[in-house]
Amino acid sequence: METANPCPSLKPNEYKSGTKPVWCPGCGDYSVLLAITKAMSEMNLEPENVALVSGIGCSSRLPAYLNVYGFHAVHGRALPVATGLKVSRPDLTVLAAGGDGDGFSIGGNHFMHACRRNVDMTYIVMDNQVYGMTKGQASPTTDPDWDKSKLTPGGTKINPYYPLVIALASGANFIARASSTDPNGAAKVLVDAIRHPGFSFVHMLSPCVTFRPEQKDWKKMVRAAPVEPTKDPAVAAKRLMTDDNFFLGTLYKGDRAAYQPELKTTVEHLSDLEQGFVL
Amino acid sequence: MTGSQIDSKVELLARTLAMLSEMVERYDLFADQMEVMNNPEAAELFRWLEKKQNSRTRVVQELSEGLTLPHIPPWDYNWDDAINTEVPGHSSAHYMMTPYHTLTLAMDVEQSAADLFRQIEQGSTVAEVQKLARSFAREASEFRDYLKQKRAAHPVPEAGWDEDEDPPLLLE
Repeated sequence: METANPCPSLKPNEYKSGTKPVWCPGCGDYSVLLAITKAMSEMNLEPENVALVSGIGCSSRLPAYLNVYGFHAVHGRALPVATGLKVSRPDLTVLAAGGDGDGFSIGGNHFMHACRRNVDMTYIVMDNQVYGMTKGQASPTTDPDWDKSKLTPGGTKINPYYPLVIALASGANFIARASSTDPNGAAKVLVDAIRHPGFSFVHMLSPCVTFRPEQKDWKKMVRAAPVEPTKDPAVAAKRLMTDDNFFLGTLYKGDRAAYQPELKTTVEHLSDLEQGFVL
Repeated sequence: MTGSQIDSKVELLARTLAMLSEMVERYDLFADQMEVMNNPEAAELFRWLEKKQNSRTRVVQELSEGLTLPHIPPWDYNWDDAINTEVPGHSSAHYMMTPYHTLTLAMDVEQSAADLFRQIEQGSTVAEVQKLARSFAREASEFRDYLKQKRAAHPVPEAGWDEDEDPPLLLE
């Protein structure tokens, strides 16, 4: 394997903080956590050189469970925080993470513009098609006929948000889908995503076994996409026309240069900064 | 790559260590989950199983001393879909599982591991690999039998063991 590291210096467990996750038993997010630690181990990333920024929601608890730098940001705002961090500290490996509600609804506009901006970081969205932390309401990716929430009797009747299409149309430089049902496969996708320059988006299927128990069947539904990644957006778009949301693997690897503004120090002393606030 | 096509000792040792590492990770995860869900009996058993796999890991590491083993990345771990049940799946545990269930899960793991090593033994053309795979298969079988004896001390769960009138939808 070209992405294999001959000798990881830290084991996956050594990237964990020791704080025990309090996700529901059977939650897919456990496996995503495992996949992230495996990816970091394979890449020999030093924990002090990695930062993970999350939003709000079950999956956004991730930073607490890792011993890399972490920031549990405002709802939907993982991407702006991560963007600011990366452009000011381009030496860091920056990951952003969250759920489908956080990323596609509350933070939907940030997602689009992060794809467009193409800062070198990786965004992992754990999609379970439901707001789990608030006890099970329809999210942007929920099927229109899902009627288990009292807030949407009879279902939302609204077409679901299609993250890969939005990512491609908005300019993400790497687009892939992985599944928590295969943490080892997900680790490989994450390694590729982190290594690829620019904004990498990983759509991570992660079942909510509590509010969407039928998602346990995802394990049987996911399968590897029978194609190699393309760098042609038109080819990727055509493939998405027949995607049923369960194909796994890397869809698109673009070659657009990552956005990194030139950093200029404008403040030499604290007093200079204070001057800027004088009315 | 199939589990039955291993013709070098270093590859067998490397893949066995990869399998043991996966087992340790999985039992550690289950133990954590059971502790959080206040199922101390299952948690204790998973911790015990984790220690057992750690002991096995040390034995295989000793067998590997002086050898340069190839690194097996996680995504190359799947030896063969048909026999990849030697490590329990992430959703195999239930928060209300009893010691009987826990030990049954571990027995299935050992049975699957024994089957895998027997396939490796039969598929290899190298005597050293055959011998080592045979000993690993025997050890897995013996541990499975031990788990079965241990399970006999626990009652078979009654129907409805997983019915929870106050389900823990989320912990907050």
